[in-house]
Amino acid sequence: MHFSAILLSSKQPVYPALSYSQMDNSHRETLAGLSSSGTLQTPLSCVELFGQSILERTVARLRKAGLCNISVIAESDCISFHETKEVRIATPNHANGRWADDRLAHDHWAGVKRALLKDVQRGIDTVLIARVGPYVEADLPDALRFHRAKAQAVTPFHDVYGSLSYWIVDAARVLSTSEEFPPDEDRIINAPQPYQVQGYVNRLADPRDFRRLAVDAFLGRCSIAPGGREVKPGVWVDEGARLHKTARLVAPCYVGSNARVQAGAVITRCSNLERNCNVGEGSLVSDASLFPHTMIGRGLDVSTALVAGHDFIDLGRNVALRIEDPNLISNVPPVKRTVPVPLPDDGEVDRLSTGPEFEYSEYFSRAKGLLLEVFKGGV
Amino acid sequence: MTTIKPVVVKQLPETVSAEESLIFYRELESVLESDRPRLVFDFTKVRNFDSSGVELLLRCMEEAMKRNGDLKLAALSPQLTVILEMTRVDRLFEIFDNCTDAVESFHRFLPLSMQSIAPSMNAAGGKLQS
Repeated sequence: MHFSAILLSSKQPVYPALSYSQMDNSHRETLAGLSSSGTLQTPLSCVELFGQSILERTVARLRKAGLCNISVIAESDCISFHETKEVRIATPNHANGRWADDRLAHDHWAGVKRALLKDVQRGIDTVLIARVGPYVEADLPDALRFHRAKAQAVTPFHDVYGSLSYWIVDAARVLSTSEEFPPDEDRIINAPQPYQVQGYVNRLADPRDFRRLAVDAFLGRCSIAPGGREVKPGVWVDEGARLHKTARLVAPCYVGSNARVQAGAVITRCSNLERNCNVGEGSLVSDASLFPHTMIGRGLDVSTALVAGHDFIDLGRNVALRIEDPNLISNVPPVKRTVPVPLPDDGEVDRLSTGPEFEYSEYFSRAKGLLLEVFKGGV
Repeated sequence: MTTIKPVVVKQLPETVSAEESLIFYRELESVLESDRPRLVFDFTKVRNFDSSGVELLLRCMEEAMKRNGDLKLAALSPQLTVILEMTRVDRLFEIFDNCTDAVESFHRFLPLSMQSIAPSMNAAGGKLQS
């Protein structure tokens, strides 16, 4: 039996579920630093969680299940990983860079068709086509057995809420039909019987889902596990991360490669700091995900949030904002450093020359001094 | 005999950056240097607000407190609230939905003023008794 996979990764959607729907118009442009446009341009399936994106994890899962021929049809900025992952890459040749909202646009279907044709020529009869949006832990051998038993051209994957945009197809039969793909399951009369996924599913429809995925991974509810070294129970630190001795990591949490946690900072409640993040002195990161290269200023409180460079999404208040003030949050320029630089003997880290030099007031200076005194007591 | 001082309501400009903060503070200096200044900042118009705005709030609060006064904030958008929470400044201020409530709060404890509006509710509950 020959089995291959085609993964579709799109630039869209940019979180329609959030899209400022709960703000009234007067607040749309109101922001601290600030414009409310452009929040999080990367699709969640291409955002790293514990150093690997969902797309990468899906490829890894398929390889583990025994699939060798994997093609990815993706927007160019979603496929930075492809050279190292040895998967075939095709980019849709369309001008406006937009995908149709809820179904594949014609040009992408053309891309899928080309990939299917190649598979048929190679003698591959069964193909998994998946839109990498949701994170799905399906039992592929079981799904394949189901597909064979039902002898249908297309077997969609469903969970309790409906279609997951995963299909197992008989390549030759799908190519020979004139019907559009993916099939509109609600419309056609002889709807294919769906395969019910029993494993973990996260639809990643909005940023809340991404946080939920991170929390589920920390709590072992899915097969994603934090990378790096578990320095103490529930605390994972990846290669090259630098932690000040007075920084506190409270389990569960994850600090990505080359990330920096400065003096007096606290990371807690299933927070994950991805690679090259920097958390400033005395800041608190609680129940939050910091995307790669994000810098948090000094003395800040980042709770129940996703932060991606200048973009800040407060999940508690359902507010998204873009902050251009480097004293609050900003992008860290990528640093190519894998060997940790030894700290000075007195244990004090050197301040970033380009880092924030902003003091909020003497209240905070005093509070910071008190905190440092407390933490020097042997934490 | 006591004299009740008026509450000064000051509307913040659309953009509160370093330059505007300085101008705004200079305009306010005479009020802040009076005895027991009572101030309300109205955020209705604010569209841009950065860390110098936070600094401005802290500075005004500090000056008001030095003279036994107080500074309250009104009509903050959800985004501004997020910024104040992030900078941990929200806990230093009393924040109100609108200026009327903020001004009223200088004269009486708000829950008690609510009591006069809906006496039947409080009587039924029987919780708010002095």
